[in-house]
Amino acid sequence: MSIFVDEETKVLVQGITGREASEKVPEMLEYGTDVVAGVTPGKGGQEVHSVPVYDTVEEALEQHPEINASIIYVPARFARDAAFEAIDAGIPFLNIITEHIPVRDTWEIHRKASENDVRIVGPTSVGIISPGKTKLGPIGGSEPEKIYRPGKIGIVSKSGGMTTETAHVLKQSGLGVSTAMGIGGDIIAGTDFVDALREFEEDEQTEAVVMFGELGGRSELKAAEFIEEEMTKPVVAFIAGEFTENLPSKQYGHAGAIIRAEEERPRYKKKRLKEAGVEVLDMHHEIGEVLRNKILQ
Amino acid sequence: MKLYENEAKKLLEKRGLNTPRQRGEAYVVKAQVLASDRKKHGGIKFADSKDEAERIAEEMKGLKIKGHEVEEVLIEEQIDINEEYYITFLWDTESRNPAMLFSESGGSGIEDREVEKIELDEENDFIELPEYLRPTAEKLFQAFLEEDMEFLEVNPLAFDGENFLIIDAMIELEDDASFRHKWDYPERTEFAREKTEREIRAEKIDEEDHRGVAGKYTELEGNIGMMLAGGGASLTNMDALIASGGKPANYTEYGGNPPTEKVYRLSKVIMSKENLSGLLHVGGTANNTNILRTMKGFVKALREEKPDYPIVIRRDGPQADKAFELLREVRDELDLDMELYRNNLPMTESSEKLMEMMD
Repeated sequence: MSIFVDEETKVLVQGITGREASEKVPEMLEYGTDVVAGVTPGKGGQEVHSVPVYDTVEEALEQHPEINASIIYVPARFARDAAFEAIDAGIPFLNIITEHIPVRDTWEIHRKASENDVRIVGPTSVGIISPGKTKLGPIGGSEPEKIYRPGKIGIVSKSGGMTTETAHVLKQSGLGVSTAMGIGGDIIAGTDFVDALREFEEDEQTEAVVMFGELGGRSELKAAEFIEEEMTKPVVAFIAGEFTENLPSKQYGHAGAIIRAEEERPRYKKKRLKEAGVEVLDMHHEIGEVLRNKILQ
Repeated sequence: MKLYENEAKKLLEKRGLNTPRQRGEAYVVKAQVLASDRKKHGGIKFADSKDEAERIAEEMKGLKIKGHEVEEVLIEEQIDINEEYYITFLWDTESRNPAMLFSESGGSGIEDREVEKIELDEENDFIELPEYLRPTAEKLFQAFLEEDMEFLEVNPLAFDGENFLIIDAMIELEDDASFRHKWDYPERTEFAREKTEREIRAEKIDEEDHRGVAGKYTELEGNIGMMLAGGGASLTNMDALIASGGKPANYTEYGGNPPTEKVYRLSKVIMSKENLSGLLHVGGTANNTNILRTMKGFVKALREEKPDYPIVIRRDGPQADKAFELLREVRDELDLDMELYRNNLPMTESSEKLMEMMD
């Protein structure tokens, strides 16, 4: 098992002819991901690393009805339309890599996805990987197998870089990953911590979960509530950005990383997560050891 | 981008909302600074005539309100307020919908009063509000959505016996939505100080070339230059450095796939700060960033600046082998006090390494 993506995942890439997407396609293919088609309006008939390109999602689905996931790589201003197109075509899973999508557009995508039972991971996602099975997006770079070993730890992170850094720390302690994903640090996330935790809770392969959160927003607090009430598997959390509490209000890194209320401060989030029974660590590199020696004993 | 009160009011007027007139029997004089509690800090004063108001306005210009220098002053009619409300729109990360915060008693000190949070949908009847307020709430909400605001606070919204008036408003526009607006607002900083020369230089790096991010630089008081990669990792490493007793000279993050030249310029900005006693160049294990391409820019800056203080580099990801070859070369060539680590060193231990070297 694993969550959201596995060897059955048949991938469409929207925006496949763009610079970033066309660079990532060979990496995915090499890892074994079934990238079956791509879409770029006006570029139908081309190929990107032997993957056929279509003008519309509908055409791609006519030729490849097995498609059950789409990676969205289009520029921010077209992202809403691209996501709508995929949802309307009936694709049940979207991984939105695009950054800087206006929050109003993300809200509209999220609403439409919820109405149609479509799962979205992103925007601003680094991708999602179920090691040994498949990976969507840039996650793990060109040699994901060096860092992501198959295993029993789920990773859910607002930061793309820290998703892979966390997998690296786990590997150093001899631990592998069931599924790891970057959920992005935007104000609205298609999949938030609770959505991911709920899936990991039900996944047989996953025995514990690491979450990487940061300042701003309340999704870590919502996660604390869920963990307290419904989660039986252990959760380890790291919350970044405490230093910002001594600086004037400003946005750091991700769009959602801005403090609007006392509860959105890292210190408060850590306290709340600890109360909920989460192992909250102050040093990121301790995650692997704590999991191995304390939690999975 | 945060708007000044006068800009926020103009935008809301355009959306059909009412604000105080410029003329009346009595006046209020308001410093246009991006700071809260202006009244308590001398940024809001009252006058009985236009002449007096203008005199006060002149005195106010150049003053500092909570560290923010007053450049513009707004003079408005003083309103006889019968009732005042607090009303705010924002995005709620928890419900993933917009939300409204409302209180029947607006005005200063709202932080200490009970505020009701109302979750919003695409269409709302604002049933929680008194009926006479609903049309104003609807107008504000439409302005919030269509003008792509991240935050809209009206405090207070006042009733003068005839109209509902926006007495004060704070608006934050979402920079990511600028492509569908014709926003033409002048430069500003939310810090209680002017942007430093280095911060301006850094901003230009991203303005002049949109590939990747390498222009975020905030100058701080400390003595350790921070060259940090990745949003989440940058936060993590700042926390780690402070936890090991270090004092950062800046906050910086670069990411995505910036070309060599951009990383070079950012490195130069960081190294240009006087009295640095150490430099930390750290990032997580990159998924996407080409380590060789970006490190080449850093190396070019090293060759020019030849720092004599300790440096710790901890970086890994695509093309890291070649990048570290280059780093070893420049270290030997310039005889730098520089320790190099791949991801065999836990990321958050890098700051401890630097602190040991600086001892």
